[in-house]
Amino acid sequence: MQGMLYLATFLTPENIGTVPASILFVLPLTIAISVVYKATKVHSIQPKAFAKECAVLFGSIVVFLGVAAIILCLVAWFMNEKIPALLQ
Amino acid sequence: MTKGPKNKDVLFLAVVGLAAWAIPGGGYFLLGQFRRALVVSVTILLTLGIGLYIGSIGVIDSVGAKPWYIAQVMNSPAVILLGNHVAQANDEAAQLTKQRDSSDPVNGYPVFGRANEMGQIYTSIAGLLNLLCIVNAVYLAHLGRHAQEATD
Repeated sequence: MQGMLYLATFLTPENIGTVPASILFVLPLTIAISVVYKATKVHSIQPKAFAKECAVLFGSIVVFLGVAAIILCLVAWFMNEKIPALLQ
Repeated sequence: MTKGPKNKDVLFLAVVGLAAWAIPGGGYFLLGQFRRALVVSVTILLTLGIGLYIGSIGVIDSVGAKPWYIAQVMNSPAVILLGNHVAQANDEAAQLTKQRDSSDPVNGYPVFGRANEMGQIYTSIAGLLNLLCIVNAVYLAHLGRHAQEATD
């Protein structure tokens, strides 16, 4: 019975709202990308060194995403606020 | 007769590639890199599982979302079976809806909106990561063979 309940969770989609917090779904994906990419790159997997490498890559991706988001916000703000003011 | 070792090499690379596709990390396992196999296997299967949990198996849509499906198939041949099951269920549901009244639609595995997007992104990225691992495992197998030949 319990098994059927677990299976049922894979047959119906979860309810995910279009809210700002849903952007956090990018984090598990970034972790997966960092871990698999580093697993293909390092010569041998030593737990501590590997975790450190993954954390550095994860941090780099998150910082880059943050910078890209800020730039896009600035562009959107400029297009919506500044350009209409200049045209008037 | 002179083509023997080269054929063996190609066969070995093909076996490693197929193992890596059949089970994420399987290629590394064949090469004796158990830690790498475990890390890759757990991460890719977890990412695929999260995608299927968020969007349901309906995100594996071999009819309406072909480009995503191609990336998803890179996870494992099991995804093809899931895709066939979903396509069949959706087809049967559409036929039932046609037979009945269109105001009371029968759904197969419907998934829309953010859940569909997230599910597709997670499952497709998992597939592309496995593709990276397949290529890497085959490359490592190729390098290993060459290193072995050099020492012989």
